[in-house]
Amino acid sequence: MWEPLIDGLNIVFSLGGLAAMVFGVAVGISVGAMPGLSAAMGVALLIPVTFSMDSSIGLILLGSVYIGAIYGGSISAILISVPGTPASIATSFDGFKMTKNGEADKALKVSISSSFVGGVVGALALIFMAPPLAKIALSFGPDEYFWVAVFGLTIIVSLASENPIKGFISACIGFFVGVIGMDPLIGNTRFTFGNVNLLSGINVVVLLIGLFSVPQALEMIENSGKLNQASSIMKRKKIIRFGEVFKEMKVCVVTLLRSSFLGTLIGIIPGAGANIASYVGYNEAKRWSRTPSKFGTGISEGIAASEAANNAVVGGSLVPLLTLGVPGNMVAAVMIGGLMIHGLSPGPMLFVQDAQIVYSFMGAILFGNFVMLVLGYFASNLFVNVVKIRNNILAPVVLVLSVVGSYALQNSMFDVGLMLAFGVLGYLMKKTNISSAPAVLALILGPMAELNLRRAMQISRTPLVFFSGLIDWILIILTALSLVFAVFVFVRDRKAQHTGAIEQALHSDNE
Amino acid sequence: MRMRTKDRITAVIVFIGGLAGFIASGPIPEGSSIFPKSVFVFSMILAVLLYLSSVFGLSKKEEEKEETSFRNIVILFAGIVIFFLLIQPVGFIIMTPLFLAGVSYMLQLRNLKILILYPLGFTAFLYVSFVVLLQVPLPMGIFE
Repeated sequence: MWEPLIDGLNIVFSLGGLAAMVFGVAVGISVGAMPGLSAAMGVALLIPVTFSMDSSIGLILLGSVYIGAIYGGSISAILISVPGTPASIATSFDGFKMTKNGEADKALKVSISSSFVGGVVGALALIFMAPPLAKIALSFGPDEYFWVAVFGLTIIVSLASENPIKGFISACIGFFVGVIGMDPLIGNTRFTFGNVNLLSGINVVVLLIGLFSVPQALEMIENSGKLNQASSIMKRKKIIRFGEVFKEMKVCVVTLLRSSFLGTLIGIIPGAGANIASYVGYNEAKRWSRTPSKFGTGISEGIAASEAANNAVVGGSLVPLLTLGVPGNMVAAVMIGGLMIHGLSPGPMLFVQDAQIVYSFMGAILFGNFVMLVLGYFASNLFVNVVKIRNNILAPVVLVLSVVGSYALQNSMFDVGLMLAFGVLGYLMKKTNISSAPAVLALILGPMAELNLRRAMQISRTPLVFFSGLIDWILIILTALSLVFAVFVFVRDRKAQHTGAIEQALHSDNE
Repeated sequence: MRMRTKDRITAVIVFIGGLAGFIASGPIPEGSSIFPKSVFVFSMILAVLLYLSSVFGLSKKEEEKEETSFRNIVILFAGIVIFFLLIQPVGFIIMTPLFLAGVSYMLQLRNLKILILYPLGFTAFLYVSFVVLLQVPLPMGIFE
């Protein structure tokens, strides 16, 4: 492990690697800071940019954007109480209160320091857990890979807990898009309608850009009141010194470690993302605190709990992605597009065939946090300005980037047309409350499930092959647990909604 | 439009799509068609369930959302369609600043300095990034 890691770090610390990290983190922080843009969108839009780069440098860039974007959401959460990304909702509880108390500078510095700690813990987990897990996964046959895909697909139930029917409809859209092209086993064409552009299937990056960028751009301008929204950012009256920041962080050490651990674990579990991690980190910190009533009044510990957890997710979410090809969350799912565009297939073979690339990527996930710390600590004044960009500028810019990015993949206007079509579909899905996340997951995991199911059946001719090994049964149990947990959350949410409705009705009766 | 009505329309569209897909899978040889046929059958079942859930009011209640300005949506969508149709024949160097300035103006941006500078600046940024630095060709249209 050490030799490929050292080879990988040579690339990370090369001129190209350092430039990619600095640029990627800066872009990521900017994207994350802007409400209306998401980490997934930022990564999706940059994938075509990395196309002509060296694979290692391209992946370093994408990983750095991921790191920066998750932190960047805290800037607007703290300054204007509008989280730049869902991962920073919990940060706004105490962050904005601190801004109102004239402590915005302290809040921002605690946020960057906490994000750094969480990010490093998550990255170390990735570096030390991924290689041994990949070694185990190398021995997987088609039957194990089939169950891995099914386990990954059960995330759909978690993602769609609000309305599972709509979640599965979204998944069916993804499954359908995934079968377009040539059958990988037999070579028959499926749903190409005689169009040569569809013979090799639909490029997953085209779908990602369409589903993540176009609906966001349309949503940004769909309400007239949002167009000229240039946020008035409260001035940071009191500038805090490094020594004071260090003192604040010392008080929060236990919270930082607990949140980092929780965030890493939540990141590893497919389906749970940075937004869940930040809530869990915040709630646990409040629960274990000696003064829980202070949470929400503007304390550093509230920010530390949320930010350490959400940045720890970055490393955690890449563990199942790199070892099994199953994304830990939506941004990790988008990263698959980044791997595929460089001809890399996520999974354990990466550690054998492309060890230098994967270790340089993991190295960048670790050292990118140091770059983020420096940029976030000393250049936050600059990033604050991106929050002020108006939606009537941002929306058309996002669309131009989407068009240019889709074109750059294969110099094909057909891809641009497809991207726009997916964009319209994604917008209509949003309007009918159908999440596009299950579609993305199904597009990635559906073909994996089908291919391995048919391969296993071809080899053994009996369905019993899927129940023949220890790993099969471990994956079956994990799949069952994932489904049970998702159903439990669904029933609990419905009961809470029903109870809330009854209480509301009783309250209005009493008035 | 209420969510129940949207759900029913969605259910009908998904059902018709599933049925059409199932029929279109007919000519595909058996080994390759099992999976897509299963997906289409599943989607038709889901469509029926969605329709029934809207009839029996089982959908989660939606929060009230702000009113949507269809004018803005139409402006942005029309703009991007025109951009898509003309970017190859005319070229991205001309179409990009025209699209950005035109759409931003229609979306009530009135500061003339910003309206001129940002489209030109962003186009230059794209050209330098993609064409010069990354050597990724973009449609040059009349400049080819």
